[in-house]
Amino acid sequence: MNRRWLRLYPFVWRARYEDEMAQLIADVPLGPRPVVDLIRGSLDAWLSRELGHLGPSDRGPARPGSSAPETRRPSALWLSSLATATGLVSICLTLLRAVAVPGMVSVGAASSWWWTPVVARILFGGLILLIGLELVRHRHWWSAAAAIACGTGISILGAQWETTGTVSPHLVAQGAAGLHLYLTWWGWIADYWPLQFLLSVVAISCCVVAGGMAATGRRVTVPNA
Amino acid sequence: MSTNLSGLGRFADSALFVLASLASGPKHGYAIMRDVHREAGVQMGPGTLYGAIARLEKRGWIAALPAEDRRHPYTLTEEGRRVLTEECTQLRRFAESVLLQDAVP
Repeated sequence: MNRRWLRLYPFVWRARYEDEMAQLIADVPLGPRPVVDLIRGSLDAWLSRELGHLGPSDRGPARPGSSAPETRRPSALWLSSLATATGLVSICLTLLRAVAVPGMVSVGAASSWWWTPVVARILFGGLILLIGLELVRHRHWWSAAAAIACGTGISILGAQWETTGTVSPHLVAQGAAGLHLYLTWWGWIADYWPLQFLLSVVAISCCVVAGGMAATGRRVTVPNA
Repeated sequence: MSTNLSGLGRFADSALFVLASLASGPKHGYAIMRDVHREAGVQMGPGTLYGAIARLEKRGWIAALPAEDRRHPYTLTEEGRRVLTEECTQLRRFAESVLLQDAVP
């Protein structure tokens, strides 16, 4: 049962040490401190380039039934998780501009926090760009091109404080017709929808999938070079 | 790659404990943990212990022996023994200098 904490570790690490660590934590009472220690250890294992590049000779005897993948970059999961979280935050912050939620800080134009949705969107776009660059290193050319286009679009469009004709061409038509749909939350989604929202949802989905693949070690590989 | 424990960052102390524990012979993870607790009074968590073991193994300072009941005992390599001796010598020099200062009013 306690073995589930070991799933936090990178696949390469688990292929080498999971059985031993499972035996160890079966022998010691697993209170809050060892659990925190395991979580911290898993962060170290993911973030350490040294340990993320354990080669076949470093893995020790192969575990029966295990099929360790090629060396994987430890940053893949963290980058995609961070991008997913930032993307969701950016959407929430953008929607919060139009909807007043009791107990929540207002991020509307009159608030001192007006800049947070813009920063979140730029950060999100930047992270997608980083993922694109990472994909270039992995020589996944089509995925890299899509991520770079997506990241650039989100960054440029997200940097605009108000949705404009660039983001929502139909906003111009709304204004001309005297409609102000963006004053309601559903109208805001409609305004946000055309490019940013769609790009964000697609990018977030890709991040979740990439993160899942990185976690299970199915696909994300490093070229031999 | 560094040739002493200072390159191990926050794992330097744990790595020294592991090396010291293995100086008396090969041990698996749980035995190392128990040994360190008994000798140094330090309770190492499983994440810290295996973080140190992985780094020491990567540097070639310890080596895994064939598994016994799904646990690999670890043993000191020649290089690991050299690093341990060097670290302990430095620690002794430091401790002696501190004790000497205390002796002088």
